[in-house]
Amino acid sequence: MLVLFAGIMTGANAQKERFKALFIYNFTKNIEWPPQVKSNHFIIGVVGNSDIAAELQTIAQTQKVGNQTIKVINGNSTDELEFCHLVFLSGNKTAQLPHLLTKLSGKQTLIITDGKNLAAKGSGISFVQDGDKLKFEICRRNIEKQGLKSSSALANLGIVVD
Amino acid sequence: MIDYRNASRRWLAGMLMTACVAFSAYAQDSAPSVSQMNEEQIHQLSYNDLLQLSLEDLLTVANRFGMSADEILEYFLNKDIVAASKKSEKTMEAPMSSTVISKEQIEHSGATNIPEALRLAPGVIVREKTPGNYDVHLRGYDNVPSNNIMTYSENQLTLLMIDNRPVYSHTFGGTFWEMLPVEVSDVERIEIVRGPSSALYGPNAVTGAINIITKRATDKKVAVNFDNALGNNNSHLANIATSFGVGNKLLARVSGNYQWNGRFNNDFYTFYDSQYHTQEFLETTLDPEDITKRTVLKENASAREPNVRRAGEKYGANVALTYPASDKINFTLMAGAQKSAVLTSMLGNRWAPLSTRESQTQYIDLHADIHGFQAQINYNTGVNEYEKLVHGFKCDIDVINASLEYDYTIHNLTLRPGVSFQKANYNDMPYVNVDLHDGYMNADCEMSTKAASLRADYTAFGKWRLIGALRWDQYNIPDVNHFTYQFMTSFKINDNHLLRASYSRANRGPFITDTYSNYTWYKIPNVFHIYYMGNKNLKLPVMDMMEVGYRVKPVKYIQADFELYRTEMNDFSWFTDDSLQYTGKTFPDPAMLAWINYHNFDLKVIQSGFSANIQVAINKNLTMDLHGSIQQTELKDFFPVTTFAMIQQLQADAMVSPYKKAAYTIDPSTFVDQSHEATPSFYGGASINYVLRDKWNLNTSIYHYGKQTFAMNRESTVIDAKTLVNLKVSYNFAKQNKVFINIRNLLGDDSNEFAFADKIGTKFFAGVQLQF
Repeated sequence: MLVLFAGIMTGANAQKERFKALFIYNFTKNIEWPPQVKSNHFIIGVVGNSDIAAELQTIAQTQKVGNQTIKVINGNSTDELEFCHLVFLSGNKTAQLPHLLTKLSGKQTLIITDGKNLAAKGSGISFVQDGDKLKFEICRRNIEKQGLKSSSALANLGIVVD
Repeated sequence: MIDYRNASRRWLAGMLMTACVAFSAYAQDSAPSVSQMNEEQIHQLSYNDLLQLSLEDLLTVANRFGMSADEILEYFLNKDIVAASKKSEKTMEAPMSSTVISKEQIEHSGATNIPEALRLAPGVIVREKTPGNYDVHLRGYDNVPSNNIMTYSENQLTLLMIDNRPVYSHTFGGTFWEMLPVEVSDVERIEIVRGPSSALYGPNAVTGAINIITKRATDKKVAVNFDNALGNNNSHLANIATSFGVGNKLLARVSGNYQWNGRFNNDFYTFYDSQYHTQEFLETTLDPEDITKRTVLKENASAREPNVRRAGEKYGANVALTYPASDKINFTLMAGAQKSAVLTSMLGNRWAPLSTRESQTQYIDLHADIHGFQAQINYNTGVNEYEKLVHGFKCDIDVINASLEYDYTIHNLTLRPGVSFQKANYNDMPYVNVDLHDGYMNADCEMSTKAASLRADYTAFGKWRLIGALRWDQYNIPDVNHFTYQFMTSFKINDNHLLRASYSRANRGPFITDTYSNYTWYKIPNVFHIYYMGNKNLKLPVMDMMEVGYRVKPVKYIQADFELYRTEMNDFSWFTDDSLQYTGKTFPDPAMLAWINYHNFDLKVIQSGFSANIQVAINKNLTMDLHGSIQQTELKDFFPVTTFAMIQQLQADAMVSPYKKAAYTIDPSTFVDQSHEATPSFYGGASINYVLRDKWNLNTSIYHYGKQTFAMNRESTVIDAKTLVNLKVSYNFAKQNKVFINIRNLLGDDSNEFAFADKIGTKFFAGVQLQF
């Protein structure tokens, strides 16, 4: 029963991770990167959550961001993320956010975090769980600071924390 | 030699498939937006669909079902059910032992027809007689009384309905599954209520009721569904359906189904030497019971089944029109027809127990919901030939059902008064020589029932629910009134725990044969004639049940259901040898006459059992189900003598006093108490469904029943325990278009599941399922 229960919890989490990956891909349609980074691969870095990285890898097999094929890199540290277009910092790695912000400052990288009030602390978008509902905070100021533009849909549908 | 019929069928299927693929490709582009989708359409979205959604739509989808484990649970585990109390409610809240099998479960499981799909529910014993033809019993009570003809192997105690329309056969009692005009592709869901339910559904819902809810058009958009599977033994299954809107409000669904099931063996069991033999053997071997030694064992056995490889063939077509005139007025009109021929167990008493049964019927069924009034009227007509090999088993049928109920709610109390009427006519006169009495009835026979009912449902303190249902039925024959009832209560400890209990009484209705039989069997023409006589004063069998149940959600991904029950049944009727006489006359007058009549007898059957069902929805992609029943059935005051032994005794008694009628007297001192072995003491199943990357669906299921002993008048046989493992794998190649392989009985145990019937081996199917 313990094994079954563990499997159940894992399965439910996997469902959440799958949706977060879908959202991350969807955010790329609502953010505009400058022309100089619209060549070669669209690189997504995932810090600390291999499930989301795996889901994004699945998406990368069939989808593109504009004309760019998607490449996903996954690791536990923020050191290898300098060339990423988008970085997702998982909830259990939130402590690395200040270091990440310093490292990626002005580098045309969308920073997405997972937790409440993190957009106010520097990320562009942050997932928040409101009961059973998945929501996201958006800080347009932080996105613009990274040299990116966000669509009005993001502000309309997210919790704006500018 | 080329089988041209099969070849042309395959060409037709191929052409249909090509047309469907072409139309499917054409229709790929049009997809409604999420805000226009109903719950079902959202759940059918593929991963690729999700990737293409706008952010707004993705948020909608995520929050309508994607992220909420509670909603996953609700969708997969806690389905809606109406049958348990005639009120739409969640299965977690249902006051009776009940299960809902959804169309998704059926499709994923690979069940090739409706009886096989019932293996997904607890409390249902399903045995395959010949490929595609099934025996279905709820909680058992099979073969009671035993030691008699095979008619008593049929389930006469469960009421089957399609959209609340009873499809119970009143001729011999029971359900002939091949005569259903609908197939699995037409099923929206199957609701199963275990335990006596006459007070809610009327006569024959004794061990329970099964209600097949069919699909309706839900959208004005033209949609077409098609599936086609080819299998070993030349088996072929095909279904097609289209739904569309007409004008502003009318919605239509039109469907057709076809099945051809092949056998695993060419031969037939015969009681002559308890072996399987070819038709040639049956047609040429002398009948040891024929004292003239001039006739063969069975005349013209090829008429039993002209194609010895065919287990069954059936066609069905249905139309459902729904017209929501306003919020409070809704009409549904359904009509359809079926034609079937199956090789199945005989109802009579011959040397070879398998026989072909043919049927051709049509129905029309109107439902009207008008300001809280619910009216239904339907008519079913056609021709059934119950045993092709025996003259006199063919008749015209005409059945009318009408009911009117009204829901009246005052605060926490809902009252549902109702009236209903049923009239069934069975007429064999066009097919028999009435003067010779060579038909079973030789008349146009009528059975009718008028009924009034009241159901009250009260909830106190938001937790304690009390339900009472009463029904009064007046039959034309026997001229009796029956009062049946159900009292149920449930206590909701909290959202995750529910205790329930019920006490109920139900009765079986009368049949044509046990009431109206008037048949002369010219066993040996002009030598030995047997008269079968019905009985218009039979008491109707009655079952009482006490049951307690507990439903629990230990975590929100699991729903478990436990039920403990005890039933007791009395007033069985039996078809027994009454008397025999040597006349002393010579040819052409018969030298020997016998009389067989229907009687009640003192048998009491007591059953105690426990069922459990555990459902797990780990997420949308991984669901599991496990169910099992343990039960014991005891016979009290059972008369342990076969009807054959009775007639032998009568022959001996008649020899002592020639020219006098010898009557059989049943001596109560010979009654015994014993276990009833025809119902397995354990049966159940399990299934796991896994969706991989939104493209693959893998489903494996197990169904197991324990050892049983089937005893009839000619001989007894042991049915060994059997475990069936099934596997269906489908690949979604575009939208909802799929290819699949479906393997039934993967372990290859080809033992027969039903007494004296066919081997049931491994069936392989490969096919396509297209939706556009």
